Amino acid sequence: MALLGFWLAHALTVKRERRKEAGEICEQIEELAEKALESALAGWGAAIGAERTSATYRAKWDAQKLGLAVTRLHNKTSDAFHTGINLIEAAATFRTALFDDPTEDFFDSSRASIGGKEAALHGAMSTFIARANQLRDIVLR
Amino acid sequence: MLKLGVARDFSPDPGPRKASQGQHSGEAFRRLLMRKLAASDLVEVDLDGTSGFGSSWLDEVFGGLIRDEGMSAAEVRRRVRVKSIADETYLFIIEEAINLARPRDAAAPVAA
Repeated sequence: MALLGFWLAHALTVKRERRKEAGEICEQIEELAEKALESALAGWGAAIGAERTSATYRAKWDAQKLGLAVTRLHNKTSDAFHTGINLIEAAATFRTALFDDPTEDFFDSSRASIGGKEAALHGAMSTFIARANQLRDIVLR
Repeated sequence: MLKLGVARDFSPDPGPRKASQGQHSGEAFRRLLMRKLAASDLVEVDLDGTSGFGSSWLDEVFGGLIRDEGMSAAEVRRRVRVKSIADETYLFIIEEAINLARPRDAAAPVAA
């Protein structure tokens, strides 16, 4: 009986710790998504040359930081919380929206500077953040 | 099985889609991957350890195997294993690229 009590206490502690860590990553994710969006917009609008190279590199790096955080969160929550929310898929869709264009390649060093993507990319981020918030609410409740 | 690490065997900084657009392109990596596939029935591509990928780079590599190299989606899935432990979002982007790719000479799919 004592052993069972010890095991239960341990399991609850592990779950509480995991919930705390997951909550912290959830907070980081919104910040990282905003940073990735900002960097992508800068990359689309950057002039040809060194500014372009630096901006697209930064955008790619910031998007990957978001992907790394989402993967860490997924690994901490998928078994323990049974959320039914696939944030990895939502992050992949957001990342594709940031860089994908049917006619212009974001990473093409010779393409023209492209503006006017703010509305579309903010829309993609809102969809992603809504999913992330759903997951956060389930994990933290 | 042969292992092909993007960071280790190609570049830690993957670039644009096409070789004409800049260095370390998806097109250049696909050529390297095809050489590995000529030598081995199964190749594991490791995506971890780079500065990140654009969806166009991933599409050019994995969708390009179908569009430009004449492989079927089933053959790509059977012969190319993709490893991305640190950032699993890439696996979804690759799966979509494989699902959407059509051989260059095939008629465009008819919308329902």
